[in-house]
Amino acid sequence: MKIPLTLSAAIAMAFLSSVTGQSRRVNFPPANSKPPPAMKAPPKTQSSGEDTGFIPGWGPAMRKTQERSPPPPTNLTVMYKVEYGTSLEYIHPDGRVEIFDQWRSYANDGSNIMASVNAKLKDGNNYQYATKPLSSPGFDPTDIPLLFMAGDYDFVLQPAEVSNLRTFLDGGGTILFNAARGRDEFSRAVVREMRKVFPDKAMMRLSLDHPVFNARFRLRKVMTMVNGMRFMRPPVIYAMDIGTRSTVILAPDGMGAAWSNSSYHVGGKHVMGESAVRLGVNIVAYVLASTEYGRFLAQDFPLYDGSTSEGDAVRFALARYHGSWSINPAIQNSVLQALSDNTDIDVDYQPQVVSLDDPSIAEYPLVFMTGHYNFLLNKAEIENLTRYLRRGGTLVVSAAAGLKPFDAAFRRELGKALPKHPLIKLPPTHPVFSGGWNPINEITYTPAALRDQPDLAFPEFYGAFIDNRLAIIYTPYDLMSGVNRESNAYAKGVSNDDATRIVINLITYALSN
Amino acid sequence: MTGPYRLTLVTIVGMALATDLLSAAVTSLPAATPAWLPGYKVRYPLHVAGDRTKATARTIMARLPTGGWAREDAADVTVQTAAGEILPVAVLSHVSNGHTLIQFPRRGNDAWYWAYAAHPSATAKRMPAVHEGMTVEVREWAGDNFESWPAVRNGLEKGKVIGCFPVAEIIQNLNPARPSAPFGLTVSYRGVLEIKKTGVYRFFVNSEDASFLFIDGFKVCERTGSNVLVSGEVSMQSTGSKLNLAAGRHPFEIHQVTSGNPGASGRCYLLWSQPNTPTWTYPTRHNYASADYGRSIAIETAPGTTGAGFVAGLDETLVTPSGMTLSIMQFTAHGVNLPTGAAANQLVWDFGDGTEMARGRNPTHIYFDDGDYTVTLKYGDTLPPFHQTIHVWPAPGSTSPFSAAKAIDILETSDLGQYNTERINQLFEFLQMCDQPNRWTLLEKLTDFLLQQHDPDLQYRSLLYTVHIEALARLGREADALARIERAMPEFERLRNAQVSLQLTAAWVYHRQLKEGKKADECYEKIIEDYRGLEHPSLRLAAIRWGDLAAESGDLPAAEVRYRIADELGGGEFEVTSQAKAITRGALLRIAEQKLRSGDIRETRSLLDKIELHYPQQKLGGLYRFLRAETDRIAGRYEASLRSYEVLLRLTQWADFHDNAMFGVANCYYRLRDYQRSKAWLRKIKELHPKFYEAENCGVFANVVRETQERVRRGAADFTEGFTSFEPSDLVGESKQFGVARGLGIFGSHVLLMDGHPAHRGVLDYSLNLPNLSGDAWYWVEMWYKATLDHVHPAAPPHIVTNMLGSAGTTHAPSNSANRFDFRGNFGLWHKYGYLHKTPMVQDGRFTAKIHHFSGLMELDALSIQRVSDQQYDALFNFIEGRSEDGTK
Repeated sequence: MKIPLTLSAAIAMAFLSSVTGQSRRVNFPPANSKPPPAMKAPPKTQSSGEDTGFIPGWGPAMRKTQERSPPPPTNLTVMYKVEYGTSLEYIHPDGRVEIFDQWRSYANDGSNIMASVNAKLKDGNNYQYATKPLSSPGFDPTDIPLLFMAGDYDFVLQPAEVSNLRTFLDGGGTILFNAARGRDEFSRAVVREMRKVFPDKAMMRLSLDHPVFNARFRLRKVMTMVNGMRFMRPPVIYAMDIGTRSTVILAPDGMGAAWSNSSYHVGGKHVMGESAVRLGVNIVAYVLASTEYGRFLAQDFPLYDGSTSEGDAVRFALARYHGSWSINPAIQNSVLQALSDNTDIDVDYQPQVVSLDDPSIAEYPLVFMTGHYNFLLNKAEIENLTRYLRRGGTLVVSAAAGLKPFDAAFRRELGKALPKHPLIKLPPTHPVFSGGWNPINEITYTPAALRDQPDLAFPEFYGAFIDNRLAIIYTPYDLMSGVNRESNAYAKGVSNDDATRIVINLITYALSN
Repeated sequence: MTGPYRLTLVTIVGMALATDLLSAAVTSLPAATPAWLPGYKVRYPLHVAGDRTKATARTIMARLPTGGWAREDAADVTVQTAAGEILPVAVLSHVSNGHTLIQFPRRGNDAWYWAYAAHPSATAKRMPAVHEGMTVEVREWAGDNFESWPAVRNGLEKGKVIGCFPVAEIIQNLNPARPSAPFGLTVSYRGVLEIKKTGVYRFFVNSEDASFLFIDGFKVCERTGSNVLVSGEVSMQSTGSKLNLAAGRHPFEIHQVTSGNPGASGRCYLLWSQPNTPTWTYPTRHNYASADYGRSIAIETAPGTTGAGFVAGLDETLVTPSGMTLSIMQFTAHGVNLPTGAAANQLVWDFGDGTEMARGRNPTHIYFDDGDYTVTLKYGDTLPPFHQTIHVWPAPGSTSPFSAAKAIDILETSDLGQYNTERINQLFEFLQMCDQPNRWTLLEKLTDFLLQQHDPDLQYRSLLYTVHIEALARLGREADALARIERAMPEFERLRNAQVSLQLTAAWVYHRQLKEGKKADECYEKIIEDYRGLEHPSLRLAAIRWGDLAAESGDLPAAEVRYRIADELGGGEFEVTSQAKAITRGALLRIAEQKLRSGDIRETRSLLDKIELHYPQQKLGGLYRFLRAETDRIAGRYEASLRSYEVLLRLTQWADFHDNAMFGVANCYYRLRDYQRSKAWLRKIKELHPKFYEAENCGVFANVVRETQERVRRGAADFTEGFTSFEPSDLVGESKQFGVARGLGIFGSHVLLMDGHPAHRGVLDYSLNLPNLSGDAWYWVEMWYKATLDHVHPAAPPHIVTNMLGSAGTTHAPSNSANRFDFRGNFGLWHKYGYLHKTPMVQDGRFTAKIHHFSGLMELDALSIQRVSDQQYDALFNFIEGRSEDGTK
């Protein structure tokens, strides 16, 4: 049932008796969305008859048209605003009843932000905006890169919508939730509803070195208004990731008013003006730049098994812990494939995963660990890890996408496990680089890494030594996405082939020592 | 592809399934012909249309191609019956370099008459006016103003007649005599209204500028001075004029003048409202009194006389981006016992544009400008040459994928020296644009010619050199090409950009033509070493190619290094921040994928070219390689496509694309006719990706591959082209309604005739079985048509629907390539209909053509069906859309 946006009180009252059943009453006034323009009366037809007659049409002219037009601008509909939810009803203090759809929230927010994207990116492409019901079939992330869902109130997703979203996000799509006026009622609903979509994933707060805050503009603080007070503070965004790609992005502070050039509701929590526009442009830019990475992650990776020899073959395990430990799909296959292609070492392709608190970790000479968020190890994990390292195990760790929260967390947790064995920076001349299979001293970093530190040229690795044995090899840069050729534009790390070379070196070094 | 314009009359290969047309349906010349009228040198057998047993008209009209043979006033033209009786004739209109329109009384139910011309002194008996039939006469406007009828009448008297045609209604969508210049002309319609009900009628002539309508000799309505076409809702009171007409026949004339305004459209319509029905409509053919019509079906010369006339038709107009038009005209000589083979040399053509003469029975000629040309055909000395003014203009219709190649073949035989520099440069541009495999000979000749002109612009010379060298290499003269580079280098001592371009071309010769990877590798490396500091895109291109070389040989790490080097070369235009790069690159990939999905191959490729140049490292990305491979495959660049698929299959991290890539490889091999490999890859898919095999119906494809291979092994020729000119000797196909008849065909002396005058004939169809088709392939279908006395009522225009279907018994869905083309009235001129059809994935197919709502006389000729390779298809649209060929060679 379609219900008009706003109705004059008198009509609404008359109407209500029949429609109240379908709308949910809310206590917060709707955003100042304008009613749709009144239907224009159809053009009056002149009374047909005696005075006038239509000249009948004639056929086309017989001319060949072979006129060339300049190539059309490359259009891309980037953002689809999502139509969802039941209609809501609000009774104004003066008794006027307003019935509205919360998905509309602010008018023009979507088209305005796309205009800003075009103005700020200025790359010759024409980015566009459209709306689409969340329940409609055929959500293909190739056609629809970014969904935008705004609101101020609680909502519940229907099962069909949940499954639509899951397919869409798994396939490489992104959804942006914005509490239009920063009402936590909406954000809480997002967290709750997204748990239906991805029961195993959690919403994490993004750190300031995340590309969402850097894709086009470097945002460190944004102008915020809470309860009528304005001040600068770091932007707040939560996300759920597939790989390191943020696929569900929740902006709990309202950007709708800024995007649609409307007034800021004093009861709300807003990111204001240019800050909100820049944040919006950054999110769209992030989505565009993640096109290929999204496609990469959306693949069904085949399961590998078998080994190149009957006898001893190299195996290594991925460390599982309470964090984003599994973000490089089929990474073991890539590493082992590289090892097998470039060296004489026999490998066992069966993927191995071991929990940090599992004593069977001792079966693996090498354990790889990665992640991109803050994490905590529990007591059992720390003890097990300490035991493993002391008994000759080697842990190879890299910070996925080179993000800082993991770096900080890993150093902190390692301090608990090996308090007497600090991480020491390895010189480029260390045999792990200069010896091994393919000596390497200068390496190439990805553009994202070079952007922060243009002079990066040598391996940035840290080691922890136990009895003069290199027990931990750690880099705050991303090593795995390079080996895996993940095409992640925002991975701060070692570029593909150098990453492969270093990993082979690390493994051959670790095996021979 | 050889130029199909000189089609020998091949019977369609593998036509065993086709049912030949019944020979009984062929209308030939009657066995008994009357004795020649003494003194006349030319005669035209006329065959009267329609069911003669039901004839009611009192007279017969005919249009004779007299082409300068009749006397200046056509006083000699006369008509004889089969029994030898001489009939009085009315000359309705006469164009000295063209046709003569005559009318004469009917003799019983006779179907045959003979019209005579070319008598030096005779003055034939004239027929008094009979109120029947309708004609239009076109003159050049020679008056001073059209503010009043006397002024217009004065202008009409002075104006030269340039065209005359029989018509069945007054719905004129173009100026019949000069379609591309519908201004500065007058048209005069003369006909007879058949009023069935006495009452008040209102008339309005809707046209540009001045128009005058006379009925029964009275001026009924006029518009003087400049006017525009009226459209939409208009007053019934103040538009046009009303007139009380009694039931019966009322002769009328319309004279319309279009000024010299180049924006004019050449449209003219007669509208009326009938008693008590206040709406504007077009009078239909039932409202005009019609005469019978006799087709001129041959040109005969008196015993002991040699001479030939011709028909002409516009085959194609190609327009280059800078506006040069190449109009290909098709000519066919008609006469008695015309010489064939080498003896056809006796037919000498002058195309009227100052170019050299041509010889033969079916020449084609390229005109570079629109307009009127008087073409002369000389055959022997006993008759003066036949001449006819033809109008060259961009006629409507789709462009044939074979036209550019045809134009090149014609141009190859012409002397470049006859063109001025501007035209030569335009030709150079056309050849660069058209992407035809047969262009290299001409391009080599042309660039050599231009290089000898010593243009001082070194940049331009370096372009000429690179094209010249590529042409040499493409013609298999790689050694010459490389030597030419050596010789050219000193000329560009001070122009390093040009040096890079030349060196790059040399590397290309080694890389792609000679396939000497090591040598190419050295070349690329040397370019990059020697010119590293140069800010020029071709340096970047060199590094990209260098990377390609590594990628194709499987050395992905080396490719990665080289692409990274490429990313740093080329100068300022490529310098953008890394974050902007990431965003735009992602957007371009996304748009490219969407364009590919929507089937826009050329746009996809231009986006991929942009990605390649700006983000070389993307060439090792799975998505890029996939899009590149798919677009190249669809565009018929199978070798390039296979190279990309191979790189993609090496990218183990993009395993999800591998099933598609393997299918692409199988498809490429199928299209390259390497069925064995195609089958092997399909088996591999079945084994490695059974789900994909199931979901994508690979089994159906595998069957087609197997079946095709089986047929090839059996020796069943693959159907690539078929042609029939509807001569009794090469008839193919089936039709219940059409008959083959003698006629002045655009190819040969017979046409497929649909006889719908004066009685309407409704739907007519023709079909042709096509065994051994290439499934899922493009075919270009074309045929020539000539409609006389047709009705193009806009509400229900006559149209042709053609289709390529799977033959009966095949289970696959028919293709969706049905095409509808509306006939728009062509005043008895030969026009070409052409359309691209996609066949379904079947081995045996069927071509059908149906004509709906036609009345009048429709002659069809020269049906040809040719397979269009994917590359030709792509080249066509590159040309139409004005893209130059891809820069990746």
